[in-house]
Amino acid sequence: MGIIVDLLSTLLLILYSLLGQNVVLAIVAFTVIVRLSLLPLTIKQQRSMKRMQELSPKLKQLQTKYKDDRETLVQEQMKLYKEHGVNPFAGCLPLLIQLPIFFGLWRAIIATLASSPGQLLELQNHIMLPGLDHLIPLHNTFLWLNLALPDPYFVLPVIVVVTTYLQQRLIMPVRPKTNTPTQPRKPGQRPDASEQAEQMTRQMTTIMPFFLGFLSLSYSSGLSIYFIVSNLIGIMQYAMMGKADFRRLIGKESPKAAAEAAARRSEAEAEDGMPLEAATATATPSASTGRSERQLKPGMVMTTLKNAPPSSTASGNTSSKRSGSTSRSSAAARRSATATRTRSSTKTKRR
Amino acid sequence: MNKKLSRNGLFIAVALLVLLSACSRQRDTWPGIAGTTNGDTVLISYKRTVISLNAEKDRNWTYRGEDDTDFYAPAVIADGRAYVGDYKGRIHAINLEDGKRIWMYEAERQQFLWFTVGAVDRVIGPIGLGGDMLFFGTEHGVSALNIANDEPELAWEFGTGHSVWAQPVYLNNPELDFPPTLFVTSLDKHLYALNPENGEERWSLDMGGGMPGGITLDIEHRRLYVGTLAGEIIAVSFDGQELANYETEGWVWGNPVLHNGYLYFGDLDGMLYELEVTESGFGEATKRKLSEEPLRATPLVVEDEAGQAVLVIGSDDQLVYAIDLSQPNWISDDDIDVRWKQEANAAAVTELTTVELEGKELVIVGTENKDRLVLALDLNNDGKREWAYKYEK
Repeated sequence: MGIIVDLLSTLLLILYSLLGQNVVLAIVAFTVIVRLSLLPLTIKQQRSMKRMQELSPKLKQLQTKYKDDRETLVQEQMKLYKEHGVNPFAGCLPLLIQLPIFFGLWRAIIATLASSPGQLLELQNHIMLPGLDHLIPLHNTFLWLNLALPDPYFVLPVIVVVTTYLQQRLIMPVRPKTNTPTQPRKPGQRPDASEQAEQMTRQMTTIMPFFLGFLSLSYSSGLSIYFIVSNLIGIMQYAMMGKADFRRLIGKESPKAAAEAAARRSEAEAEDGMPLEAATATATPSASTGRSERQLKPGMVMTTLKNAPPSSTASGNTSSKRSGSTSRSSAAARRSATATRTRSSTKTKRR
Repeated sequence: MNKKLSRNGLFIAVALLVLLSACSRQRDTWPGIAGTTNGDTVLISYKRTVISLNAEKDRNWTYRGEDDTDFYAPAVIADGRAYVGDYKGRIHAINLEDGKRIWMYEAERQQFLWFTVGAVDRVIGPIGLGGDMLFFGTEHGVSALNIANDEPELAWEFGTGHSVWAQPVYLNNPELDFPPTLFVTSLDKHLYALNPENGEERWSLDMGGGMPGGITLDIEHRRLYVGTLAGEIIAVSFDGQELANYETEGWVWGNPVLHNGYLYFGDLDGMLYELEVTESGFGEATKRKLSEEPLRATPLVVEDEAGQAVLVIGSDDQLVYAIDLSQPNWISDDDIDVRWKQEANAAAVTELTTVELEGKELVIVGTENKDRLVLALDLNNDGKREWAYKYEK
């Protein structure tokens, strides 16, 4: 970690020197450079996340299919990953590489702004190039701020919270709105992995803005500027990659994103010959059937689908894609799915 | 499930906090050390307390601030009082006898709803005294308090481009035929001469580097000496002319000590210097590596039992060094003739002072280790540790 802090502190000092000894400009340039240099990793991470997202319906189906056989489930999951060339840990790896750099950034900014004698004394150990000593200490005043100290008027912490929230909201997918609301689980029943991950992501959307806001209240304003610039760059990156969906800010998904999500779902259903709603064991009180939702006993599989066409859970767009996908499904899968439905139907009728 | 996920969220937040605090761990701040002129008391400013110890390490009293504020600035002792600033910009006058507060000055801050808003001006350096005036450095300059009749009142404020961490030096010597002047060193790389009555600037000089340390006055030559983070010792006349400068190997943090026509100081590269003072500026200079770690503090020059001058200085290498200045060639071509060096078991970075205990002259040094926050070393007995004070709240 030490070498990263030294490198970044030296880079920050060089930028400070080049940009007219303006700390704010130096931090902005510094953040841009670091974020751009990490861009390949970010893209890789996003691609990996996207692939995982695409596989999510299939994984759900496997989980349902092998819910009583954990060993086979793991084997099938690994097989699925292999077939699609996905490494489930590939999404974490870029993040792991980025973490020390972000912590290094954090420490470099605090070290370079040196708000106490101890920090200033330590700073000399972080400078890797001769000739930068004369820049120390940095001119740390900007508008009403002493950049080495927290914002006394709480303006920056508020902006940090808002921009972090916006960024999180923009990148987080909206929960697909279907006619099949999630069935309440029985006591002791575990949520599936993807559901858990989604919940965690949503929690992070709430926690992260306040967490960073708290840090902004406690640490130097320079760090707050870094958070804000970093968030704005993040939003811009997503926007430029066509991934920022501003409708998400009001809890809506763009038609394109909704169509893509639905297509993934229908493709997964088609491959298995079984609608996802069935696979995830949620009752489907479709509008067309008018049935109320009810919980199935463990081991039971959905029944009402033969009355509820898949298109009823998605837009018209999705419907057409779904039929296209279905036509590509194998006959064997169809037969298997039909058999399942019949058996399930019988069980439900017995209730 | 929600409970479980909430727990997970909480866990993530706590883990992030722990990780960040571990990653952002910085070196501890050292205590401020001050001694009374009669050598019987040591005052320690550390965390939320100012502690008075006698020469035997017994605690005379403990002073606590208004709330959770920290004290790191060395106290200044005058007329039976200790004056000290805190990290919330307040100035405290403490009775030296019993540790009771005489008064406390706090600058007004704005209230917005239930929040107190506006910058907190930490007082990091010692206070300067001059008659009924008291001068202290802040985050944005220097302020003066009129303390007549124990009713502290802000007299004036002078803004600098950066913080003032050093003690402002008040010069008022009728023999000099020079008006009373307040000299201030700032981290904005400027040395200021101010009118102590109203804070008006008489002159300022760009020194090329920040100055966290203070000023050494040389009344005989009508000049002052300052060390800078640009790695220089600079001589400046009282009227603001740069007379001479000497380049050092590393940053100079503490002030140089003037003794017998020579300046003694260390730098953050661990070099110790002896620099001759001449009529025109600086003369011969000698330097030797004393330590591999920084020599941050101002050295202390004291007389031993035989009346010989001894220089004592602490280092980040956890050692305290004593050097016999009376020895000819103490700083020879090959090495430094160290009289003794003593383990401090922690970075010994504070200013030094002395106390007397049963005829022994004890050198007091502060460290960054709470378990051995202050050490008393016997000057005349090879620096033998007489006692170590462990910080207790």
